[in-house]
Amino acid sequence: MPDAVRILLVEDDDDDAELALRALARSEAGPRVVRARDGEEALDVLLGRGPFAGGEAPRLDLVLLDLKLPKVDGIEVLRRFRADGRSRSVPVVVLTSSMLPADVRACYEAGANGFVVKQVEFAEHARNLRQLADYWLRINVRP
Amino acid sequence: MTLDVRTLLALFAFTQALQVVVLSVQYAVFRSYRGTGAFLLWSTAVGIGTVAFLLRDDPTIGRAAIFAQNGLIVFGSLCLWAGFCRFHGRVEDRRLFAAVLVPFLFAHATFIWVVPDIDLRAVALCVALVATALLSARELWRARTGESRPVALVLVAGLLAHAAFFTARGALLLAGARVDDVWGGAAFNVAPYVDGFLLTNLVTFGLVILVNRRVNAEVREARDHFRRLLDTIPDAVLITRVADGICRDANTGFETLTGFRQEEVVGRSSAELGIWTDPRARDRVLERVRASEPVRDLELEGRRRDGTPFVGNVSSRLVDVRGEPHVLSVVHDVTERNAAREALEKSAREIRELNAGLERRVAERTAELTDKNRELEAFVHSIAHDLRAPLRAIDGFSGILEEEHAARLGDEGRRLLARVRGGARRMDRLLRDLVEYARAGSAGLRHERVDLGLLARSAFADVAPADGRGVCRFVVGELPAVRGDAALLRVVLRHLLANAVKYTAERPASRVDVRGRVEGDVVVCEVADDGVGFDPAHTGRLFRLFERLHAGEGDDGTGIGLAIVRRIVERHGGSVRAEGRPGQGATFTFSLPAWGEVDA
Repeated sequence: MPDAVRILLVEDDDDDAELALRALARSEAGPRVVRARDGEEALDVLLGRGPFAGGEAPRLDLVLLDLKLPKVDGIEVLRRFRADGRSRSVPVVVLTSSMLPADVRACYEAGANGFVVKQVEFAEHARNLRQLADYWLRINVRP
Repeated sequence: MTLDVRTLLALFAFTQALQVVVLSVQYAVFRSYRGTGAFLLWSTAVGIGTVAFLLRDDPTIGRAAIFAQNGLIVFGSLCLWAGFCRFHGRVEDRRLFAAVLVPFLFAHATFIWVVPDIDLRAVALCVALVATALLSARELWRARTGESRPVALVLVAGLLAHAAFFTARGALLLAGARVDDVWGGAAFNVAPYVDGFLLTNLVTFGLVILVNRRVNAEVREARDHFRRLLDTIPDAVLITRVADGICRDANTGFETLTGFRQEEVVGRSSAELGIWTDPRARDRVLERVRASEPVRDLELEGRRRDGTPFVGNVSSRLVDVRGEPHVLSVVHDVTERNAAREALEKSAREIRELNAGLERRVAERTAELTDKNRELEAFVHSIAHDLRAPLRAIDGFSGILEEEHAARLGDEGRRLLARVRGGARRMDRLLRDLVEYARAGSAGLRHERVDLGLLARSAFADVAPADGRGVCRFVVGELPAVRGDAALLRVVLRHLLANAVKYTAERPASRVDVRGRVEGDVVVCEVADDGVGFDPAHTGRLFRLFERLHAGEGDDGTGIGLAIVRRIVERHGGSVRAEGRPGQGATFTFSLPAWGEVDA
């Protein structure tokens, strides 16, 4: 499937999710984006269970992960991603409003590939997201 | 009455020899007493003189024997006088010695060899003997004090009698009496020998008693001094017999220490009195002392007469008392010293514990405060995080509205939408600054070498308008290195430079200066501009949170920047102040620890 799911957006806030989807829609990489509303859904997508059961495990090229999530929080999702063989090499960029240095450190220690602060100014925020998608989907080479 | 002169002289010579022996022994034993040598010389000279007398009839040496006999008797008498002088601590007058001896010898020699005249010889001898007797008597009279007194007085009397005798004899000779027969035994001729016999015996006895009394007095004195010394020293002194442990002597110091009176102690053993708490310790002392090993400052516990305990530092050594081995012990009372030392150690321990407690409390309190600060920072972050999501939605959806539905909005609609987005952005800046303010108070402070010049240039690049409009001249002067946290100090410079850029923006050809100088162990830095300045009356409000002097001059101030500046500078141990005048620019001055050579 050439245009299989390529980006998993883990975001509980509907506003943020819509803004992100709009921004990514204008990306030259033209990715298909799947949204998970919380940590558990994110893990369902990864492990092919729940609503995503039955089908082939989707090929993920990038995970955009919010930190403050209901049920299973972002750091824990990241740890489980890294613990599973299927997702160990999937790039995960943390996308959050937090600027707490402790969070930044914790994310990198748990295996994040990037840490991007969500900008309030939409134009800037959208530009950052498109650059992320371009870099990880078009420039970066993965196994 | 007639006496056999030869027999008399033989007796005289015999007793004289005995006296020489006695005075020799005295000299040998009491050589340290000055004068005993002179006494011996006296006795010896007189003895030899007596023997010489017996040779006076020899045809070849007769005259020389007569000269020697009388010369030695006068010389000996002068030695006796010199001995008295020395015995009483004076040195005899040698000129006086010579003044008697030399004229006598001269006259005597004249009347033997030049004008032989036995009577004039006898007169000369009388004069010399009277003179020496009076000299000796005078010396004894002067020294008739203390233990010498009775002997001195007896000797003075004897010497005066002797002088009187020879004065009378001399007078008789001058009046015509004749020494006609030396061996004849007539009273007039025999009398001088009897006198000499009596006087020498008297004087020798006197000398023996004199020296004896002196020795006795000194021994008594020494014993008194020793006793006084014993009773004066504050330590307890005890002399016990090794054989049975019986105490032979104890001083008042012992009485003070133990409460036992001397008469209760002497004649008993310390075991009987139960002085030492542990008798085995006392035995160990004894063993060591017996092995000729002096004991020094051995701490022993004891009990006083009333049962209260004491601690003594015991020093002991072996001494002989009349041939029997005894232990001489000195006990220094250290009860109070030990108690004081223990009290001191106790208070030192208490102070250490108090200090430790205080330090622990300070550490706990500091930890609490640090935790509180962290909590506060996390809280501020969390709030900022949660508040920024809706702001993003406001800005994002307004933007989409503006782009995708512009036509339907109309000009007024677009203007209002721009105001909405402006508000969202201003609130975002406020949130960022609040987070920075919280972090300035709680972030761990690094102490590194910071080049403020580099930081200033980099911070200025952040705050200079991107479009290049209204750019002021930015001049970085000399800036000595400081010690501090580079990340936080960069925040300080960013806010100060942002201020300077903002308030010079409307002025043409304005400039912003950054410079610093070392003052003692701090670096004083200035960020000066020639912008719009401010009213000095409001200086105090500048650094307070949310205070803004220039309300309405644009929407990009939050009123937090200078509060952050002050927080960071004060955390570095420095201070910050501002000076300005309306229309004449502003200067912000802050101090930071200098990077000294010792830090490098």
